Amino acid sequence: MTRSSDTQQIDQQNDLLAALLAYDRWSFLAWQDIKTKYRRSKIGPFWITLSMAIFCVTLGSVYSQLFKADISELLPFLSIGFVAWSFIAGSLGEMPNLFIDNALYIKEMRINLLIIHLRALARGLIILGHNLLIVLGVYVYFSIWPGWFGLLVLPGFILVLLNLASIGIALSVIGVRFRDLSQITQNLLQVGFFITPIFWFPRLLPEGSWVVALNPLAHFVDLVRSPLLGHSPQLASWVGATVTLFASAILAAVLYRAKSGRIAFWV
Amino acid sequence: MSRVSSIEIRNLSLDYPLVGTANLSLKTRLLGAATGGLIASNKTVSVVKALQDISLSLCEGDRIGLVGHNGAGKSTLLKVLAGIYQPTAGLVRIQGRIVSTLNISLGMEPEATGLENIMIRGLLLGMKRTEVSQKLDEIAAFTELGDYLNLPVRIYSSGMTTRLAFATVTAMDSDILLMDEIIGTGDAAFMEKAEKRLSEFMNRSKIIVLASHSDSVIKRFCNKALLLEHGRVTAHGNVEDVLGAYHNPTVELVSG
Repeated sequence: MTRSSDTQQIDQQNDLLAALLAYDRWSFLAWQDIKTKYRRSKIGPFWITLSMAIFCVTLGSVYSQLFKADISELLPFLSIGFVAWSFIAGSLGEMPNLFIDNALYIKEMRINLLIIHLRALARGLIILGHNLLIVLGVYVYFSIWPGWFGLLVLPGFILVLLNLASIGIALSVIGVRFRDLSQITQNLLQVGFFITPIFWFPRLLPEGSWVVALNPLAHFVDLVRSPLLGHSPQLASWVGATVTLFASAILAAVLYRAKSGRIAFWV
Repeated sequence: MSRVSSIEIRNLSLDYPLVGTANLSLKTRLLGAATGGLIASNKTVSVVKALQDISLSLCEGDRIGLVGHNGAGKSTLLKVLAGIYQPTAGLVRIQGRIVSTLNISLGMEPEATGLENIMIRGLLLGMKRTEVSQKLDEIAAFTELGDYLNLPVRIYSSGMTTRLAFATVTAMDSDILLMDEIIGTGDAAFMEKAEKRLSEFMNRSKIIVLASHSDSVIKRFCNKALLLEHGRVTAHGNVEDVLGAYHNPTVELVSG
């Protein structure tokens, strides 16, 4: 009955593997979080889906007039892009305060910090799952079928997920020590929403503009949105996201190794 | 598989960093760097020497009581043993599954039902889902909460919540049990039943480390004791001697 023994040597190197293997724990806790959060509402997490759908339809129809764009092109672009953006921004936004929100646990029990991350990421995925209904609605209404290019969403999404995980680890470790990182992140994400092509087309930018090229958020959105619209993401998005992943993974590993032992003192 | 449980601590020291408000701001840091420390310069993080040069070795059958005044380092030592705090220096080697009951009301989700909370707590305490499921009926029966277990915990009285937490923690199988004060339910009618369950729980553990301010608790549950003062071990040995040293210090401590 007892688990095959735990030598409780504190060993960060194994935290990642141990966290991944504890999938039954964080997936259950993530489901539980969603269940309890929306228990007292009839349609539960679909509230988010509903408000997002209203947002997309309103913004889509207004901006298609503003930009004189075809609504059948802008609305699918905007809706799918916004669903992807919400997942990305939602995941990143909660990271700086992640350990602070879990301070009770961290201070009172030995807990693998990466399990807290996976729990948060899984929560975001569940919400994303609900929001896929919007994508489905767009497909049906505009009779879009992404075809074979649609399969590219898998590697693209995995790349985005890995990016979010490693940026998230870096943000959460720094966020415990420097409490204003949460505000800074929120601020950047707010700006990011406007400079990322979500409700405007990247082709509107002049040739060689750096606004999209240097914006990792734009690459992340493109990697998810383009396949779902039936075309291949930009090569720059693959390259940009891969470079970001390497940089953030190294940063996350260095920070986690150096500082994960201090987090219980800092929260 | 049963490995021998043990605790081995050598020359453990722990400095507790005091991160003040100024240290918590990244903006202050950047501003300080940009203005050459003109506007903000608070680079030092002061530390409290919470534990100093502690050595201790425990093997199966040891039930050690930690005694000492508030702030002497009892809880900190328990947290090091639990793997919450990493020591600044020294070696900590622990064999066996640790269960700590430092804060039993931890992790109650008010919106979740009693049964869901048993699962959540079990998982957080380190059980597997199958393990919690096996124990679920037994835990539920012990709480005597009946149909309340299907209702959200937010409507429970504090006594009911404690009962639920107590039942879940004491269902764990531990090799090494860490306790900060003895846990109970505070419910008179329930007391006897709870005490029986607690002693069964404690008997299942091979090693117990119990911090308490109560002499009678230490005398009743422990066969060894350790006296901490200002983060240092000042007495270690059998319970009577250590409690004697605690209450009648031969050398008066006149530090401020």
